[in-house]
Formats: sequence, C-alpha cells, structure tokens
Amino acid sequence: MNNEGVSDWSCQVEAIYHEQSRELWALFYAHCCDAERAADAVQESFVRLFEQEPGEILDVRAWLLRVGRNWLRDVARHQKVKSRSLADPDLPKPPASKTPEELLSSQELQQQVRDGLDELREEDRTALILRYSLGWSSQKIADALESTPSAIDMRLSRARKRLGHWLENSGAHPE
Amino acid sequence: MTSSGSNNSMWNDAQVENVLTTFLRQEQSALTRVDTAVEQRASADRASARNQSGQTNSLSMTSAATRPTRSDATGSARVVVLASAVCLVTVILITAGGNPPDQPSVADRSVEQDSAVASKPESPASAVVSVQRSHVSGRTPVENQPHGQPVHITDPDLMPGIGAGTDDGDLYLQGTEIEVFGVPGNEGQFSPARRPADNHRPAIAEPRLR
Repeated sequence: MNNEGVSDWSCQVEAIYHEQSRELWALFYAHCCDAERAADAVQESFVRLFEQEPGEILDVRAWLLRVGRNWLRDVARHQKVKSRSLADPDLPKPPASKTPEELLSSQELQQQVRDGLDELREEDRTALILRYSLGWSSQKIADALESTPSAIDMRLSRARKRLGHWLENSGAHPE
Repeated sequence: MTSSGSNNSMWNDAQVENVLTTFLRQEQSALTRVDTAVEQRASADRASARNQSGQTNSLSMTSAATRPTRSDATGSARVVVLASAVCLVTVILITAGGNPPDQPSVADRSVEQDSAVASKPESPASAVVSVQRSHVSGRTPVENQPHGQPVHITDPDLMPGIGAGTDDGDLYLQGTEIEVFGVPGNEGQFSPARRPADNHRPAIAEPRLR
C-alpha cells in the first residue's frame, strides 16, 4: 500500500468507525453484557481493520462483527486475553461524565439493570439495546437482525416486561 | 429511583424504558476511549503517510534535478559514438600498421589460411608461436622462451626470418621475437638476403646455440 493508499485507508476506517462503532458496540454488548469488554471488542476489530488492505473486505460490517465476536469468544475462553490498545498507554483516560443525579441514582441499580439484561435471552437483549442505546426504529432493528418490525415489537414488549419483573423481584423501585 | 430490598413496586414499560435509556447511555460511554484511540491511530497513519510521501517527493525532486536532460543524453551518446569510432579506427590502424607501406595488405592477398603456428611439437618445452597472417613480413613476440629454443614452422607456406636461426635444417629461437615471411609467389616482398633456400629455410645460417 503506498502512502496515499495508507492515508485514504485510514480516512475510510475512521469514517467506518464513526458510522458503525455504536451499532457494533451495542451488538457486542448484547452478546457479553459487559460494556468495557464490548468496547474492547470494537477496538480490537478496528485494530485489525486498520491492518487490512483496502478492497480486501467486501462486507466491512459483517467482517467487523465476525472479528469482534470471535474475539469475545476467545476472551470468554481465556479470561486473561487482553485487547490490543490503539491508544497511547500513557494517555490519561477521558474523565467519566458520570452525574448520578442525571443518570442513575445508585451503583446498586446499575448492577440490577445489568443483571436483569443478562438474564434475558440474547435476541431480546439485543433488541432492547439497539432500541434504547441507539434509538433505532423497529424497522431498522428488524433489518439488522433479519426479522420483521412486528416481531421486533413483540420481542421488545416481552423483553421490557421481563426486565421489569426482574427489577421488581430484585427490589429496585422506580421513582 | 431507589432499591430497598424486596419490594413489590411495579415497573411499567415507560419506567423500564427510562431506566434502560439512562443505563445504556452510561454504559456506552465506555466507547469514549475507543473513539479517542481510533482518531489517534488514523491521525498517526495519515501523518506517517504524509511524511513518507514528503520524503519520496523530495527524492523525486532531487532525482529530477540531477537527471540528465535529453540534450545531455544526446551529447553523451555522441561522445560514446565518437570514442567508439576512435577506438575502431585505432584498431584498424594498429592492425594495418603491421604491414609496411610498400607491401600489400593481408586482404589484398586473398589469403586462404588465416593463421599458422610455429611450434616444435616433439618437445613439450618447444616454443609455440602463433603466427597470424597479419604478421606476415612482420614480427611476432616470443616471450619467456630461452634463447636457442627449437621452433617449428608448421605452415609450409611460411618461412622463418629474423629470430629463427637454422643449423642442420633445424630452427632455433635466437631472440625474443620471430619473423615469418609471406607465402611463396610473393617473392618480391622478401629481402634477398633472407631469401630462403629451396627447403624454405632462411639463407642466413647462424651457429646453433645451446
């Protein structure tokens, strides 16, 4: 790859990241129920994408999904596997914009929601995450999951009820 | 929202949606570090590509500055052709220089044989002298051979001259070069003093040196 090709490819990868990283994270998160690990999977898939030659990948989204899921599978097998970092390790992490009053009132509730999501079937969890993380319509979720909007609506309704029951049974109170 | 042990508080869809939206937005913040990392990587790749491209351009410009122009190349070609021509003429002159001006050239003689060898095959120590027809009436150096070394002219049409002494019908090297005369029938070119005898031996007989 010549210099111009490298520059063009890095621009393309960056554009792909901005376009698809949230969806990828949501799908990875739905798979592993771990936000940090899902972020690691996104990062790992893009590390490998940077290393590819332009034109080698016909369906970039499918390729990224496959890479990320394979990486998550490896991580599940070998818990010690670390993701490769794109960033300078000495670079300070961005400050967390946690405002508990605006977001969640307690760490306890966060864990209850996380546990409740983990208890759902992956297909239900995926629909919930795509809807409430990305704000996707039922049609878009159906397209992504190769389903129908009505089936997605049913899945969403069922998932919300199950999560509500979980939270109720775990003692979480709505405001 | 609070949690307080086991309570039978009911969660409706709207409440679940609200808490999910808030929760997932917070979870998604884990991607912030990846956002930064990808931007850094892409930026670094582009900077690296720019640097390498700059170096390449610099090299190209340097090459262009020192690259010979078309007229320079033509001039160089002319010099090469001229030098080649000079060499060729020199070779021709050197080749022709072997013949005295008053003697016909080798080509004019319609020579059938191109070369002859002066040697004494009976003895491995014999001087082996390759005599070219271009050297007819000329001299061929014989180096690193001792004085009195027997020589043998294999070509009956060639006759030894200076450097080839004869005694009892044998030829011996008498110097560092040997002269061979041309073919019979062109006697006019021979020196009468060196006119060979009927056996094609030089007329000048010198004592055999051993």
